[in-house]
Amino acid sequence: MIMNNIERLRSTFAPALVGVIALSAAIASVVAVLCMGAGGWLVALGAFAVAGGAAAMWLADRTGPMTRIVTSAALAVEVAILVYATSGHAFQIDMHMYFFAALAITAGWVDERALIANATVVALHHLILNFALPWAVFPEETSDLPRVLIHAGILVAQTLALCWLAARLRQAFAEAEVMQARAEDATHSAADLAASEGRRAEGEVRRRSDFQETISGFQREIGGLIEGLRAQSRRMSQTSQSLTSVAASASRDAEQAADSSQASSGAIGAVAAATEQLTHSVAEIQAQIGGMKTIIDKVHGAAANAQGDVGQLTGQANRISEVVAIIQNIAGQTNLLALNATIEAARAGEMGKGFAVVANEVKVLADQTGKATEDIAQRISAINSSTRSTVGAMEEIARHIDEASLCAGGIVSSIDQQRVATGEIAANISHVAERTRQVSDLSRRASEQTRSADQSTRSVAETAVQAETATDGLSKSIEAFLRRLA
Amino acid sequence: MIFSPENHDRRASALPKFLFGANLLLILCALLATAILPGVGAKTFIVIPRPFGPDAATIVAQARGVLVRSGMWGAMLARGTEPDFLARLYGNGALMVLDGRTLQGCAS
Repeated sequence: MIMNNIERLRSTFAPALVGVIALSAAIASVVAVLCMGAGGWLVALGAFAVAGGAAAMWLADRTGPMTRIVTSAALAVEVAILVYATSGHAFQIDMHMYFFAALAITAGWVDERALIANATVVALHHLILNFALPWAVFPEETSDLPRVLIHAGILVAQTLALCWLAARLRQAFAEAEVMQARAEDATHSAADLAASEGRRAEGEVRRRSDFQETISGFQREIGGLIEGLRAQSRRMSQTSQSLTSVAASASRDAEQAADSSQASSGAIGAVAAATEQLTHSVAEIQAQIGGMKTIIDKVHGAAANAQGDVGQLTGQANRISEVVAIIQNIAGQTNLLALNATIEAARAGEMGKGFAVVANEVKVLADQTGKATEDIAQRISAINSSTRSTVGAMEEIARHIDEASLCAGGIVSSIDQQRVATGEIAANISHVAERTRQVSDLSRRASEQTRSADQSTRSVAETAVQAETATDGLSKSIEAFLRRLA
Repeated sequence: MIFSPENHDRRASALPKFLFGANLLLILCALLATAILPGVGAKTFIVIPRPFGPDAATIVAQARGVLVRSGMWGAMLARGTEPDFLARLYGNGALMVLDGRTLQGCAS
C-alpha cells in the first residue's frame, strides 16, 4: 500500500499522541492520589482506563478515523480528570489552559472530526457540570449562562480556526502530492529522454566504430587477396617454367609411346594368331568330349540292361527255391509212406519181409532226397545273396556312370563357354591392335601438340609477370583510396 | 466454515468498531464520574452500601459522621467534618460514595 504524506504525518503523530494521553493519565493519577486520598485511586483507575482504551483503539485501527476521534476525546477526558483531581486547589483554574493546549495538540491529526470530538467532550463536560453541579464550574457563585456562552464561544472559535487550518493543510498536502507526482513524471520523462539520447549517441558511436572496423577488415581482406594474387602470379610463373620442362619431357615420352605402340601392335597381331589357333583346339576338345559322353551314355544303357538281367536271375532263383521246397515236402511224405510200409510189412510177418526191404530202401532214398534238396536250398540262398550284392554293385556303377555323364556334360558346356570366350578374346585383341595403331598416331599428334603447348607456356609465364606488376599497382591504388575514405 | 478467511476478516473489521463503542462509553462514564464523585474539601456525601453488607446508617455511624437524610435503595446523605471521613466510609463497607452536592444540585 502506498502511503501518502498525510498518512505519514498521522503515523508519526499517533504514537506521540498516545504517549501524551498516557502521560496525562499518569499525572492526573498522581495528583488524584496525593490530593484526594481514598477516592483518588478510583480517579486514577478511570484515567488509566481511558488511556488504555485509546491505546487499544490505536493498536487495532492505527490511524483510522475511529482512532482519531477516540484519542482526541480521550485526551480531553484526561484533561477533565486532571482538572477534577486539582479541585479545591489554586492550580485548578490554571489546569483549564490544558483544555486549549489539548485541542491544539489534536490538530496534529489534520482531521476536523478529531477536533470536533475533542471540543464536544470539553463542551459536554462543562454543560453537565453547569446544569448538574454549577458550583463546580463557577465555585464562587451559581450557574452563569452568559459566562458559559463566552467560554463556549472561545472554544468554538479555536475549533473553527483549527478546522480551517486542518482543511488547508490537507489541501496543501494534496497539492504537494500532485506536484510531486508531476515532478516525478517530469523526472521520468527527462530520464527517458536522456536515456534515448544516450542510446542514439551510443548507436552513432557504434556505427562509426563498425564502419572503421569494416574498412580495416576490408583493408586486411584486400591486402590478403593481393598478397594471394602475388603469390599466385609467382606460382604461375614457376609453374609455367616447370610446365615447359614437363612439355619437353612429355613430347619425348609421346614419341617413345608412339614407337612402343607400334611395337605393341605387332605383338598383338601375333597374340591374335595364337588365339585363333587356341579357338580351333578348343573346338576339337569339345568334339572329343562330346564323343566320350556318347560312349558313357551307352555304357549307362548296358549297365541298366545288366541290372535288369540280374533282377530276372534273382526271380528265377527264388522260383527254384519254391520247387526245392516242394521236393522237400514230397521227400518228407515219401519217408512217412516208407515208415507206414515198414509197419505194414511187420504185420504181414514172413510174407512182408521183401516189402519191408523195399520200404526201407524207399526210406533211405527219401532221406537222401531231403539232404540233397537242403544242399540245393543253401546254394540257392548263396546265389541270392551274391545276386543282391551284384545288384548293389550294378546300382553303384550306374550312379557313377550318371555322375561321369554329368561331369562330361559340364565339361562340354564349359568348353563351349571357353570357346565363346576365346572367340571374344580374339575379337578384342584385333580391336586392341586397331586401337594401338590409333594410339600410335595420337602419340605422334600429342608430341606435336606438346611442342605447341611449350610455346603457350612461355607466353603464360610472360603474362604472369605482367599480372604481378598489375597487382602491385592495384594494391597501391586501394590503399590510397582507403586512406582517403578513413 | 468457522475459521474461514472471510470470518477472520469480519472479526478483524468488527474489533475496531467494538473498541470505538467501548471507548465512547468509557469516556462518557469518566465525564459523569468527574461530575458525581466527591472532590477535595467535600463535606457531604451520598453513601451507597454494598449488597448484603452493613446498611448506610451503620457505615456513617462507624465513620463518625452525621446522617442528613435518607434516599432510595438504602442510600443516605451524610456529612462529616474530619479529613479522612471519605476513607472511613469506604473502610466501613461503602460500595460507592458520591458528592453530596449532586443531590443538592438536582434539588435546585
